[in-house]
This record gives sequence, structure tokens and C-alpha cells, in this order.
Amino acid sequence: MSTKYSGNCGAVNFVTTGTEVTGIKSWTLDVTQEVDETTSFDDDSVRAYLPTIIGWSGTFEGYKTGVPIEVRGGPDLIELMETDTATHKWEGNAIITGLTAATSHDGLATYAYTFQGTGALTEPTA
Amino acid sequence: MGIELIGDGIKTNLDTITGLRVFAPKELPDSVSEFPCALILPAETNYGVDFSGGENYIIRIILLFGRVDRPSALNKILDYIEPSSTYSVQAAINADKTLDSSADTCILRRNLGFGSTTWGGHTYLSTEFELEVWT
Repeated sequence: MSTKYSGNCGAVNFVTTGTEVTGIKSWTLDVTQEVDETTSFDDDSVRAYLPTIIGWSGTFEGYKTGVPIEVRGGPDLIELMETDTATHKWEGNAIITGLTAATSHDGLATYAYTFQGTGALTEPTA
Repeated sequence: MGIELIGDGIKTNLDTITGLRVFAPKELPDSVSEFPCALILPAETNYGVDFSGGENYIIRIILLFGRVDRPSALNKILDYIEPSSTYSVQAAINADKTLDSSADTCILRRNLGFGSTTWGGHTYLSTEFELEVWT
């Protein structure tokens, strides 16, 4: 039987300042491997590629619990916790690239952020 | 923060309505004899609404106005349903959305109109409000 993990103890942390971004409900991380096409006459009309560079970016969003995170500046070392287990985290330097603030008459004020990773991304070790 | 404190906070807000007897969840009576009165009843608890472990609650606030065989009491209900009046439940709740510092915020969602509620073996004219609370 495979082990599954609930995400309700996740977190987004700024490592340098040791602060958790409070009110957050979810985060996403996209890791992309770019490729360059190498198709030539040698490939018998079948496209061929080679991997080039890796990039990563993501989002996190939740309730407003204080002042928003400053979009200017960075990069900052961030942790994206999948669970409350220390090894279940992604870590790397990221730049906050976007902020969407929202409020509706029948709900709560929310903030949603986008970030762009820069440099190495450390993957979960378990 | 917790459901008991929230109940006390709602009572604090509603106690500002002159003449309304309010019962918090921890002090609900077996029977009622003073009217109008408000019964604060937890209806729904949603756990873990964010990573920090916040909760979300739905609270029912039921106002009783006397025996169901006395429909003249219906007229009194309107004053409590009004968005703003001396007896407005919404105005009393909105006066302090932290509910006496027991919650982050709250929204009075709706009123369900005229109805009847059975309590302690008797049926009373009533109206019900639905309050959503976040902690």
C-alpha cells in the first residue's frame, strides 16, 4: 500500500527571516525542462530534441492576514512545505513577480502571488 | 478562539439589542419564558481552512417571539430582520465583526423569514439568521 499525504499542514516560508506567510491556503510549483529541436534529415521525418535549461515558477494564495508581501526586491530563499514533515519541501531563491488582491462583498479579502525561481531548486528528499 | 468563545462573542453583540434575552451555546435553557429571546446554535464547523489551521463556522441564531398560536407577534419579527434599526440583528453583528475578539471576522449571510421552532416541548414563532465566522 502506498503512503499518501494530506496537504493541510503545508506552508510557504521565507527562510532568511524565518517567517511563514500566514493565511495561505494553497501553493503551486511548476518545474519546466526546456528543449531545443535537433531534427535533421538524419531523423527520418521524426522530430528530435535535446534538453537545455530548467526553470521553475509558481503561485501561492490565501486570506489577507496583514500587509501584503512586497513585490519589489528579492530574490529571497523560500520553502514550499508539502506537509509538516521537514523533508517534504521544495526550496530555492525566488522573486515575487506578481500580486493579485481581491475582495468580494460576500467573502474575505485575499492575496494571490506569483513567483519566479532563480537558480537551483532543492527537491523533497522524502 | 473557539466555538464557545465565539458563542459568547455573538451574545455580547446581540446583548446590545434592548429587550432581547440572549442565550450563548454554553447556556442554552431547557425551556424559555422570556420573549423575544435568541438562541445561538453552532451548525457547521470547517477545519483547516488555511495552512495555519484556521477554522470556519456556520452559526444559527434563532429568535423566538412567543407561542405559535399568537401570530400578532409576527409584526415584531420585522424589526429584527431590518438591515438597520434599533433592533436590527445585522447592525448588532456588524458593530463588531470580531465578535468581542473571538474571531477574525464574520458575515451575517441571510435571514430565513418567518417560521416556527420547537424548544422544550413548545412551538414558538421564530426567525433564523445564518452567520458565517472565520478564526
